[in-house]
Amino acid sequence: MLAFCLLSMLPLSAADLFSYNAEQLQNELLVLNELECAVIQDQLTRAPFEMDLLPAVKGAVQMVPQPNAEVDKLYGIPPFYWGLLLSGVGIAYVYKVSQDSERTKQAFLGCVVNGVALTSIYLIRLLILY
Amino acid sequence: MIKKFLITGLVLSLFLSGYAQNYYRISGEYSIKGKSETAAQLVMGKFYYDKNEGTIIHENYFPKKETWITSDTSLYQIIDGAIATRQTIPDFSDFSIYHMVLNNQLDNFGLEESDFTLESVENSEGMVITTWSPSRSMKDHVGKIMISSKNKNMYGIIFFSTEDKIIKKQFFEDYVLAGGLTFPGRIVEITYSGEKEVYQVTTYKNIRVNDTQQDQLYHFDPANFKQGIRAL
Repeated sequence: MLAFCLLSMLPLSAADLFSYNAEQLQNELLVLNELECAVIQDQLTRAPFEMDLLPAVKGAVQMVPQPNAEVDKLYGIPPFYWGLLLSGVGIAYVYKVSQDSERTKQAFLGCVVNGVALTSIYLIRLLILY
Repeated sequence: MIKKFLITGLVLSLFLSGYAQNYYRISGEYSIKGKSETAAQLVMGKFYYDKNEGTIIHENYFPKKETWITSDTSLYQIIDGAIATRQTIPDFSDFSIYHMVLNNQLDNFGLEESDFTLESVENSEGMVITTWSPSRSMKDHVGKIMISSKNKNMYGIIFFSTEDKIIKKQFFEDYVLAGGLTFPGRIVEITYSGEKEVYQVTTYKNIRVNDTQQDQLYHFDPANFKQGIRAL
């Protein structure tokens, strides 16, 4: 412990000045690195939000994966509602335009909710009538 | 025999000097990521520089399409093929990284041809570290500068205040060889403002040297923009 204290009191050499905390830098730029990957992958040419002196907090919230061309073909309607409103046709359409299993699952879930709702209504009607 | 040897050497050196590469043009792609305690920024684009033209062209494609052109003491902002703004700035094109790389001046950051004088040189932990002092007339405004090089390439530069405190560090890493020139693939910049640190990382890729196929990309004439002839 004493040795450590003595070492830390030694003056920095010239070479020591030419160093930086690479791990800290990596952490600081994590979100921007992800955004850069999204720009390259999705060929974005415009930020979906104001970038100039963007507050870091706002950036962390808004720098979510950007919509790509396939998802735009869903007209901004979440896959869940495609399944909910159009059932099997909705699932097929979401799968065709997005080729994404996660979105297709959401559409399927919407379809299941639709089925459960219709079945419930049918059963309630049966109970009321009989 | 000695005479023949000397003549052969002389002819060979003249031949080689005649073929010495003249680097005059450079281009590539860049990505600048900046982060402070309260702000973050990402800028991506392409740059073009021809030292005979003396014009630095930065074509940003993210976060928005716009072009920034440094020509003499003017900084132009071009949007949709028209000059949107023009500012008067000091002419620092000779101190741009592009100019220094083309002129093999990056190892001393162009300080040899400035008002700074070499104060000391030392070898430490595989680095050659030089310390440069400003001229007497500049001492009230700027502090000393330290430069380190590794494997004959510039590695780091540290700027000090007049109170001898570090105000900025830059690190030049991941050098690539392009057309016979070494160019840093990544520049890390840390600016110290009180207790706070501001980070900036610039990465370069697809560096091209002496590109002769796209002359128009390196040339800028503001008159063309006023008349709407050239649209970027």
